[in-house]
Amino acid sequence: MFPKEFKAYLKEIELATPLIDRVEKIYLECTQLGLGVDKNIFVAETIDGEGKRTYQNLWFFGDEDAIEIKNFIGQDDYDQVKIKKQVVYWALRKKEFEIGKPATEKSRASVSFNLKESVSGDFRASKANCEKLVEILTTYFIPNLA
Amino acid sequence: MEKPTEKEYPKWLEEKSGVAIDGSYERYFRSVTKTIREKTEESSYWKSFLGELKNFDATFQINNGGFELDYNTPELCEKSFASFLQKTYRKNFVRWPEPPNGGWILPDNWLERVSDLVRTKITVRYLDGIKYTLEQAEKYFQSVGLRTRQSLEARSEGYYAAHFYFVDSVEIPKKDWDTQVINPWIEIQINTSLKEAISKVTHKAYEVRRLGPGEDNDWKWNHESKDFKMNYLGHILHFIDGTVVEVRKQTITKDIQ
Repeated sequence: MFPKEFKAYLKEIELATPLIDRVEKIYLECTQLGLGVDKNIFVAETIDGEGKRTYQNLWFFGDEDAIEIKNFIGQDDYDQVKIKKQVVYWALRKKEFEIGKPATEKSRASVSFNLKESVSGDFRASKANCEKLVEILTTYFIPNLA
Repeated sequence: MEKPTEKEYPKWLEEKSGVAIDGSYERYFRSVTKTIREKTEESSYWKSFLGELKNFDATFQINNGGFELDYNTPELCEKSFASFLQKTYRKNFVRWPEPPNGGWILPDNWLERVSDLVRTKITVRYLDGIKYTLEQAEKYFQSVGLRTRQSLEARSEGYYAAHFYFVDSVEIPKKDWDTQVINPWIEIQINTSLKEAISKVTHKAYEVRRLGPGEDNDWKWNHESKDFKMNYLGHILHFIDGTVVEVRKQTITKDIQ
């Protein structure tokens, strides 16, 4: 079953219905693979100068691992990474967004990170998704500094 | 009998229909097209359609490696009276001295026979997005109970156009202040961004040609003529649009490999 809170999050970041259906399908595939990444979700996205939102990578998180589906809209490109006690570096950059306060239409944030074994990545977020990004940072990255 | 000129056309219409085509009629026409546009804009099906475009694009992206159509938000516009008259002139005299198929296009029937009193444009990034959008629009408007039709035009003069039409009943003012219900077609023209970029230049030239004499093939060998450049530009852009789709598809295949 696709968690209700995941669906609510996808609606909040204005994903079109066919894209929500696709995320649900990907989630069910991850479940069938027995990946155990059912604790949280994040969609990296950006907004251009004209206000158009572009969705990039989809992430699911478990207690110890995360799975990334790169360019999830048009590709089936999955990879899984261990994050428990694997974080060696993280950086948060933000604009018009105060941690602990509601994000605004102008809020933007990004997190980049390095894990052991030279794995690195980044997340970008805009508007209310900035709050979700901080939740992901504080739940899965800061506590897992090696 | 000589075919009426454009200047003589209003008089010809008045003789045929008994309706004076003057400033008063033009004001009436504008109030009708404004009513049709406003009623359509206020309709729940039109508002939903604007929202559905996001879903059309999302489905296209899912099935095409994430490449998006990037729809604009279509805004409904009213046809000008001058352009409307010109169109009926062209259509009325296409078989002169015989009337066109369906009979003369006159004030008592022309609001339903000219299919773009109110119209809009949708642009898409890719050529295959045009047929896709036509299919999606047809499914959508039929699902809300409206009649639809569509056409894909391709002329030797390098003119390529896709048109989608839907029809709904609208109550409009009559000239005598009463009202009547008519079923006007609303036109959605669908084009690629590439063709749209030059359509303002080429559209004017097509308008001029549509009023001119019939088929003239001289331009096909006369590289100095305006028609040669404009018409082959139309074909070249269509070819480029098609090639872009092929390259896009190859990119997706390579990504998977």
